[in-house]
Amino acid sequence: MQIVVNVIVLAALYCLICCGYVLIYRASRVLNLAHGELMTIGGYFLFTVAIGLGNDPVQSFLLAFIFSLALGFIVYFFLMRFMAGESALASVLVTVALGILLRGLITLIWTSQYRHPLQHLGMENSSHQIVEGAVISTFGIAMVISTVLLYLVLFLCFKFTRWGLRMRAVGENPILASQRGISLHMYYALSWGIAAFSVGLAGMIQACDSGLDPDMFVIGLKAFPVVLVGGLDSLGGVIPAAFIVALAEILTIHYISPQASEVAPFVVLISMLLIRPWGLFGTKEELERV
Amino acid sequence: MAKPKNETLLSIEKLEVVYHNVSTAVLGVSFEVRNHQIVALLGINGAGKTTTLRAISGFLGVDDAKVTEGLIQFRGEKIQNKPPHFITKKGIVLVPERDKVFENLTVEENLQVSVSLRKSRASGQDFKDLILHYFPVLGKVGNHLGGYLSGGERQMLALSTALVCGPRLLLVDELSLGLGPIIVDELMNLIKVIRDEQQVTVLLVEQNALAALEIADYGYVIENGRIVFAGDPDRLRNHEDIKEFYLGQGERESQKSYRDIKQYRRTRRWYG
Repeated sequence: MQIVVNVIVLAALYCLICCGYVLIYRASRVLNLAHGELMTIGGYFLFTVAIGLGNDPVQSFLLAFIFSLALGFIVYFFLMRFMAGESALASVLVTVALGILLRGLITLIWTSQYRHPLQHLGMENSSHQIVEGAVISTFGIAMVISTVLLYLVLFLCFKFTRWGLRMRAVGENPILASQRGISLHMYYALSWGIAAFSVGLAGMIQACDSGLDPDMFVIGLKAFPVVLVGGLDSLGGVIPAAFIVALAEILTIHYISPQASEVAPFVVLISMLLIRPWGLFGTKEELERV
Repeated sequence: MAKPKNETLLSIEKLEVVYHNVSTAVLGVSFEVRNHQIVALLGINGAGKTTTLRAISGFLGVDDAKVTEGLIQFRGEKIQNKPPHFITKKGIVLVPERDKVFENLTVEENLQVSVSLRKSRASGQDFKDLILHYFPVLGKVGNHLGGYLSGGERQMLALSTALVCGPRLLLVDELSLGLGPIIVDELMNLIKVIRDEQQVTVLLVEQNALAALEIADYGYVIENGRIVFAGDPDRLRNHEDIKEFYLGQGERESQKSYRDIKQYRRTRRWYG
């Protein structure tokens, strides 16, 4: 039973991280390889705000949300905007450089010491026994709930709101979208904002659950196979892919060794690439672009 | 403003477009579109028609193209090298030659994507009625994906999404491409009706000269990136070279061999 709970929590974490990969890729065909760093920074935002405000979890989280969202906009307007129209490879390399830069900044500002934002928030991460023989931490529950909420909101927006429709339109045919009066920069910035927000949220919850250090970006890297397995341009594909990868990882921890678990997502990825290179729900033609 | 009907809406002067910083696509095209007219821009493949339209409607970074010389003026304002969404908001809306609808969105969704110039939300329903009035077919396929539409329906949807933007000047690239003669006639007539009822000016780029001249008030012939001939439809229709090469009704049709055509092509000259 514990295995099932662990898989669900880990899958939720991956879903939360990957939604940003997919959003940015769908809107602007850019693969954001600085995603793990955005996640780490989200965690540090919460840590800093928590110290500043002290024992006020609601406000701390809200402020950290706003910072993450703003970070996404800033990255777009001061960096990625200038890459619009350049080749996809150039843009991807810029995000790699951005990732290295952010990693350096994180170590510079917050040092590589292990941090626990939870202390400063004045909250406790207790274990709950939900069914016989399975426990889940408070922030594990928070992770699952926020993932479900975020995906629900995103799906509804993409289907029923005007800006959601326009976002899909921009992703599908930017030239036509622009000719129909849509300002592309606005929607690209929006995709970066939501992506930074969602991955920052993942970073915050993860930091509360198990502490924070600059190496957290590795989780973002491990989440990368999930998007590829799900198909780069498919938000719906992320969910089953996250479960597959999480299952592989948890089973490896349980039956082989915890050290081997780091490799498990990539083993899944490689077998996926051999069988169905465009992912579970991806579009075939998208393959050449990366 | 004495005669607003004949006011120049769009004027192009010595337009030059350069792709990828090296290749020049349009060499010094000049023409103008007057208010409330339907103007046809005729020419064969690769003459520079589409490039001219794209230059008017704006290039994106991915196009890697730029207007390097000349002027594009819309209602007296210079609009070259502005982004497409800016130009759309000025009131120039393009119906492109291909990729004219969002294939993964339904017909209804396609119509909602367009940013309307008219601000009020209340007008949303009016627009829908208007579109259904002109294109009743679209009402029946509202839930279909854009990618599954027939060529005619697709063209109608493209025209509709452009109309939702509320254009003053509608640019139409190859209305007739890939469509049967009946539907082409129908669409051409619709354009004329829409022009009259919606106070829209139309610039029509066409290979199908015969169909375009049916409804046009004025026509230009573009070749190798230059305007080589201009006039009203009758003048164009009666010009020997146009008859021969655009309308396929040369007088010596019967006695001509392929060799003659080739020779004639080489000596074709334009006089205005």
